[in-house]
Amino acid sequence: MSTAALDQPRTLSSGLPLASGLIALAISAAVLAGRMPIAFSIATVFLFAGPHNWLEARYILGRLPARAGKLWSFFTVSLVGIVGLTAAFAYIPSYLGRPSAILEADSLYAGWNTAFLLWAATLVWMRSRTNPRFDGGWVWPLAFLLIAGVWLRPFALSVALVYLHPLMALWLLDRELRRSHPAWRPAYHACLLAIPLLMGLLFWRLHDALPLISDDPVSLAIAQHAGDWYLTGISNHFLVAAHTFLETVHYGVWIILIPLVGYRSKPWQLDTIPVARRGGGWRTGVIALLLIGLLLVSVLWVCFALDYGTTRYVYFVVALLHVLAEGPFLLRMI
Amino acid sequence: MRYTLTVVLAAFGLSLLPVQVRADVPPPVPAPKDVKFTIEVDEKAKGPKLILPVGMTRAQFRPRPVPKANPAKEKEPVAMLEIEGDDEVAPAPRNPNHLMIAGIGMTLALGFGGVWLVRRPGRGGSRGLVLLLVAGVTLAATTVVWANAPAPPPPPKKDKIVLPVAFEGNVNLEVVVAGDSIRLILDKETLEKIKKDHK
Amino acid sequence: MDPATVLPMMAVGYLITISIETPVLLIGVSSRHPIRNRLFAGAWLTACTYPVVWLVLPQWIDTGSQRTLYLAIAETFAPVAECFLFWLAFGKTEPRTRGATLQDMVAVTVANLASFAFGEVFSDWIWRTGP
Repeated sequence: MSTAALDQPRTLSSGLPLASGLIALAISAAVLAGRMPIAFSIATVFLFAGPHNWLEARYILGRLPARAGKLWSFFTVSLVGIVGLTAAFAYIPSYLGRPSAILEADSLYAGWNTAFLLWAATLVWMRSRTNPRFDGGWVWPLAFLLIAGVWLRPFALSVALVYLHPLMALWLLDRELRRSHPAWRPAYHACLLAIPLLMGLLFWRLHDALPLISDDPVSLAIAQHAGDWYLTGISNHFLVAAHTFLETVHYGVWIILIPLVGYRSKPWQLDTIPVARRGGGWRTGVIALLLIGLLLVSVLWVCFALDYGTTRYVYFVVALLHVLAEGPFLLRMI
Repeated sequence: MRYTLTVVLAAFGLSLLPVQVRADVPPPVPAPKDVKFTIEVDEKAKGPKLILPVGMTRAQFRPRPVPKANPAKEKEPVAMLEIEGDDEVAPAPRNPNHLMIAGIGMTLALGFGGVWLVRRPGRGGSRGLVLLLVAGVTLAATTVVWANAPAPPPPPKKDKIVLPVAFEGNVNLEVVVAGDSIRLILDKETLEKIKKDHK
Repeated sequence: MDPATVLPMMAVGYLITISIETPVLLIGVSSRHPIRNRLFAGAWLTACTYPVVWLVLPQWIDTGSQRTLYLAIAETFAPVAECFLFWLAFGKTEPRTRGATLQDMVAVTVANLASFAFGEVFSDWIWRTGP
């Protein structure tokens, strides 16, 4: 962190460009999501899903230490959880489709949520035992309380995560600002209020709107993703609009705001990636990883163009990998 | 701040619990609609198979899976089964193990929470008691509120039209991701049986 | 067992139970514990064991046909678990003497027996007079 950044006065005007950018992004996302939720959801996922994953991976690579050192156990638990939970989540639908399936959907999702909560609690606990330390004793009661709730309402947490995950990007941006542009934080915090305000506005206008009626599989899948099968008391027009709004803000943060404030170089410059600086095979590995990522982004676009519905379904199952990866990464930034 | 956050989170977690009273409200029964439907004959098929695109049913993600053993359903003809396929909104019997695991979760949460509140360094005054009271009041209040929620309206009664049975037996149900048509694939034997029964 | 029925009943039962057990603990536990901790223990200990007694044990033991067995296990589990939790939370409070610890354990057990006795008398009264 440069001392220049620390010396800057912490006033609202310091982060005005960032705040204006976020406000503009949020307002345009809310207007478009409210007016044409399905079409905007299709467009935004088509355009930004792949690139945001690549930029996120690039950002995480830039922040990961070159060597795990004493943190190897934290990284091991993180990796095992990320891969294991994603694989289990992807396996559940195919298991349920089998005639021989013994467990039912609610038990499986409650079990998955329990594993997820225990994994997250373990990571928080491990993080609390490393510098800078904090009292992490609250994590176990909270985790077990949520586990109790999960077994009483097996789908509630899954639906909540759909809406909460996009907000992780805003939290990560805050952590990044604290590190690189602390003077911008007051303005950023002030304009974060726009998110609940716009959500409230969407709710006020759309909570009792006529439901989105469409028989095409893509529209049904989008409404299903927004949880209309679960939150039956609210118009699915609001649910789809709210989810698309949050998703778009999260894409905007990852594609525009975090690269602007968080990258210490151009994305293709590898000098700021600690692992790549180890040289030899590590540098080649990082290059290969980023190139394969770019290839996957292109393949995703082609697949979206060929069969949007199937690609979207597969994407959101696989994308759980990056959702889970954000957890440990955020913990290391606290 | 951390204290406030803990109170809010605890209250949120507890407020989830008694909501069960309303959790049994089934999703609305979908309105009848016309869908594409084809009957195909596959001479190599080993039995009748019903292929249902996932976009035309939400059963896969519904919180209430269809009970497996339902002799009444099994006796219904295929034609009726598919018309009523989306009407499976009656609450399935709740798995009693869920409540047991929830009970263990509550015990562990309260046990760990209490020990943490009492033994954490620099604990101040009567915070633990206040936290417990807030949690208790939230639990009691939400219980009363949800327990007094009006019962959900009964589902509209439907007069069932008894049609002549064209086919009676099991069908292999396959939910596929792609497609916009429900396909019923009949094996040769079933087709012959239907033809024979209706001569 | 339907959670919609059980959870509200459990909440009411919990409030009745702690209203019996808390006074016993206030009077009974050793004087080394401040009033704040006694009040906390009154609400907390029952909260910890109640879910097991109400939600877990009935899945294993039929509370109707095996009522005696259920009561024996539940009313053994509750005091033992609560004694352990009390010791875990407040056992290191000074002065740590064997007599003070014993007094605490007896108080927790008596509190449980008192609420159990009240429950039995209440049930019997309901049974005789009707709801």
